[in-house]
Amino acid sequence: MPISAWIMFSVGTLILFGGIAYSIVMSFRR
Amino acid sequence: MAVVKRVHWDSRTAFVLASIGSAIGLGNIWRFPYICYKYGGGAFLIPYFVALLTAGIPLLILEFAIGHRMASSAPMSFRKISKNTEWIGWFALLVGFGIVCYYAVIMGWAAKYLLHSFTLAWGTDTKTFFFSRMLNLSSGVFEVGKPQGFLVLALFICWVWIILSTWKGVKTVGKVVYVTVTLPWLMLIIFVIRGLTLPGAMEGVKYYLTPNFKALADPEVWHAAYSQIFFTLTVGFGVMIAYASFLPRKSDIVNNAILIGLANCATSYVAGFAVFSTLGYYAHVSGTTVANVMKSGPELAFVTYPTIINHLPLANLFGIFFFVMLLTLGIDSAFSLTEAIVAGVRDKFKWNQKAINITVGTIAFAVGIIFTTRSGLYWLDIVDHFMNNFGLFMVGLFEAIFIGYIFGADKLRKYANDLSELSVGRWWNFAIRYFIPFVCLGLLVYSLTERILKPYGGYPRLAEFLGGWLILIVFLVVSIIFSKMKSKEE
Repeated sequence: MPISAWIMFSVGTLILFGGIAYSIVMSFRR
Repeated sequence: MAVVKRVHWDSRTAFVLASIGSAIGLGNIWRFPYICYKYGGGAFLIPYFVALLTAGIPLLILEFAIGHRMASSAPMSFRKISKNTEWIGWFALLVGFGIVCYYAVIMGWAAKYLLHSFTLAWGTDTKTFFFSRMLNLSSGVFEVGKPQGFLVLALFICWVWIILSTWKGVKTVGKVVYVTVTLPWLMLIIFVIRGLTLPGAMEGVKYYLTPNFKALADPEVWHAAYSQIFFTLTVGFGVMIAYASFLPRKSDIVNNAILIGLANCATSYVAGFAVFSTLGYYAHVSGTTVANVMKSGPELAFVTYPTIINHLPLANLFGIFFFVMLLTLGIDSAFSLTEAIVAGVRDKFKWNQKAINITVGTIAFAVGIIFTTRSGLYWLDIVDHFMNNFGLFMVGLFEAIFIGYIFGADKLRKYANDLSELSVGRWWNFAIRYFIPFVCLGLLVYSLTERILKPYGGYPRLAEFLGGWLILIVFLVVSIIFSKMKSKEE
């Protein structure tokens, strides 16, 4: 797989799952 | 008159799962991966995330905030803003009704295929099996024929399932979603692991993720991204307004909207790996390219996938997993649309929940029979196109305008911020007042121009009128009539 595909994979995974993790962490901080 | 206390969700988790379940549907599996592949591969993720942040999540916040603030379903929420805006709430519910009528039919197909999985009854010629043997598809849209008996039975069973899932409103929904949201995710993970460990899988993933950045200069790619976000989040059907109306007074709005939006898109993203890895494998064993085997929509689920399943070790088991996944993905979208309608009628006319449930289910079942006829697939295709490309964007446009200019975007933003763990800045006002109306209007004009230039899917103009324009006109008229009727409280 070309390097550009790996970059999109990393960015997509980070935004989606990083965002979900951040949102869940924030929900515990209330 | 005695004031009836509004039922609340059992927990925040139940609300979040129900909203995620509503957003996640068949489109996450059979639409997103194809759109992503078609419009720039991995590069499509850029306009997709931009659309999520600038339109999807702002609209989710709007619907959650308005439902929570007004503690009513869509029509009564808009009525509390102004009597002249109630119709948009009814129109949103009716668009959802139009969709659930055929959605249940597709679930019926999945139920039938689940049974076929035990014997792999679709054989090697899966295309003939689906179109000729199962649907008995006629040669033209007006060659209607009789309803297919077993499809009617499958539709009936699906409606019984939907009605039972919403029997006591959100009390039942809040319990059912623990299974119907987690189970398809479990199946999806199994498919991703199985898919990625097959020979040729990485070739498929390469098709999915290799970016073509030149595509970003094409306006059609941005059009596809915004359309996909509207389709996928179940905004514009009154579902999220109804669901948020059952939240307790002290409930988060903004963080829930972000979590639900991201979880839905993450499902699509992961589904892409499941679909493309298995397509890579199929291309590998067939000695062809992924581009040649790529399909979208029902053909991907009911023709391509059964073919792939035939090639897998433990084929029956994976067949069962796949169609259980489709069924459980579909059911919570279907019952959320139904619950939004039931809540709308109950809030306005104060009828009994169970009576409305049965009435809505019966009417939708009766309407759905049209889609079980020999030309059902054609009609399904036309109705689907018009509900999604016109109904949905009309609701989005009017919702944003009514909230942005009549209720006040800033007032609603402050309300949401006061309750929420995360705050949304003034950019949200801009999104609601200017950007989302601009996008919705753009999408409507684009769709309208396309339809003026040529009929959808090459269908006759009369079929397009009956299955598209006429339904939208009837929905608009019915919405206005409902909004003029007095509610029980008055």
